[in-house]
Amino acid sequence: MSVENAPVVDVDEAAIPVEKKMYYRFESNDKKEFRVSELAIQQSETLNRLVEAMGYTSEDVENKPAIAIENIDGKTLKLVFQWCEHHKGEAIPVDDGSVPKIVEIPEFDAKLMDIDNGLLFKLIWAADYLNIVQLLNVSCKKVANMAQGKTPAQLRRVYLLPSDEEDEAAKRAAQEAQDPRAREVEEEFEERKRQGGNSFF
Amino acid sequence: MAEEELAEEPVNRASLIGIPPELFAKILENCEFDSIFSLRKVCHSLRDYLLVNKPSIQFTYIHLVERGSRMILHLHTVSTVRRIDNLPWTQFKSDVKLILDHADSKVKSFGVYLVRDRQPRNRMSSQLLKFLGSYLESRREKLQIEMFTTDNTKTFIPILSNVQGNLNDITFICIKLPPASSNEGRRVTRGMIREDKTWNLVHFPLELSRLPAWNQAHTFDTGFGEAIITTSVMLFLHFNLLNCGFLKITEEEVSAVAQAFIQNQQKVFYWLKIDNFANREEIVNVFGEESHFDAEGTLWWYFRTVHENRWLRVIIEGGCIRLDQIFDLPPGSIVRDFN
Repeated sequence: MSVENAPVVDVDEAAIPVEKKMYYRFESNDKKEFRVSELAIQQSETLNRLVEAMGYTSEDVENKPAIAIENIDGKTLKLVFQWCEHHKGEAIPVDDGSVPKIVEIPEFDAKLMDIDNGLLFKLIWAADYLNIVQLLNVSCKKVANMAQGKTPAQLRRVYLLPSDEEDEAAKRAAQEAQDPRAREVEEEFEERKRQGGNSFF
Repeated sequence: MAEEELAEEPVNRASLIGIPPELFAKILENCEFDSIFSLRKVCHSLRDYLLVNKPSIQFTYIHLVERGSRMILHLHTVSTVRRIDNLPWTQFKSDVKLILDHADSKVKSFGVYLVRDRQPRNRMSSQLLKFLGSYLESRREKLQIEMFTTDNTKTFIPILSNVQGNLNDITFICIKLPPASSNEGRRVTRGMIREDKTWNLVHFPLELSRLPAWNQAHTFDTGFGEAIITTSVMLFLHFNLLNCGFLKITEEEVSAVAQAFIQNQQKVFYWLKIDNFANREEIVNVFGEESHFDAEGTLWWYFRTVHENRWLRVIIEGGCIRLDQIFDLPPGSIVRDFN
């Protein structure tokens, strides 16, 4: 899809600007474009610095090309910007470890993150990459909450984690892929043991 | 609108393993301790990761309880309180070790509460005490020794490690380490106690190995009377797990202790010995006292705690001194000034 044909998603549709607001345009790595308000951008340290460095003014912001965010796809970026728009103007928490952190997930965030694991992990990654502190906090909390009250077997299913056997098999497979001779040597060793030899050499 | 689009695509079931380590660490920070216990059992890789990285668990209180043959963990974090019941000894031990290893936090109190009946002694208590003794011993270097007096360090650890199975039915042991401002040779004075707001009322460097068999009651010289050692052990260590600075006991903590006494008022708690005070006169000098006979003719003694308007009630009965509860002084009591 070309940039010109890409749909422009206004993530702040409900809020009709009364005053002249400044909107930035961003483009995901799958060429989806988003219009995001200046205030919402402030939730992301990375984006905030980026637009500052680019020196946009309210006059030229519409005419300049959308800012490309190469590492994040449209679906994830949409969630990110929805979150930023909802939480715009809110104070950004300082995470310096000085006080025990209590993270509570607001209702809006809980609904927003009612998504599959893959997208949730991407959201965490995006929040980290874009340095959105509170989104990172709540998304990590959400993943952590998924573990609550689960047995090891349930955790394997929830997070798609391997069991010890699968883990060992994966390690063996990786070893064999690196050194195909290893398996042969091992088999030869076993065979010699069976034949009564106590030394491989 | 996100939901509609998501519904069109197949579910992307990604594994937690794919998450970058720094983000994985952040997720673990948000995990409750029991989730971390479970995660350890998922696979070797995860267990190894958790062993090395030891994600922080922000406990505020850790209480270990032996009640008959059951082991119970009371774990308080800033947001939750958990009680884990009926743990088998091996799991209890490994969980406790895990908790202590992971508790990268300033724990307000770390308590061990052992309750036993007249049944033949269960070995778990001595195992638990030995385990805690060796744990504390292993962390001796990390304890801020300058905060301890040499004597205290020597006394404190043997209390935990010298339990050899001939110890029986201790009623109440409460260990409170001395205030941070104390140093070797300095005695606890009224000024220090008031200044630090620490609760030094109960501090027992009891030589447990001297005590007789578990199934016997034993009288114990408190220095100001005798106490009968009977049915349970409560060992309460107030210290900071990592820094081991001495904690100042807050009004809330005193209230919590008072509440615990009130809840257990059917049981008998004996005040065994107060290390910091050579005799009753000294206690009185520090805390002040009041006494009166109740309607049944029992003599009650009240010792003022370091907190305003809080009093420790002690009953002297049959040659024993019994710690009863901490509470507000009854109206109409006359307080003598011992200054």
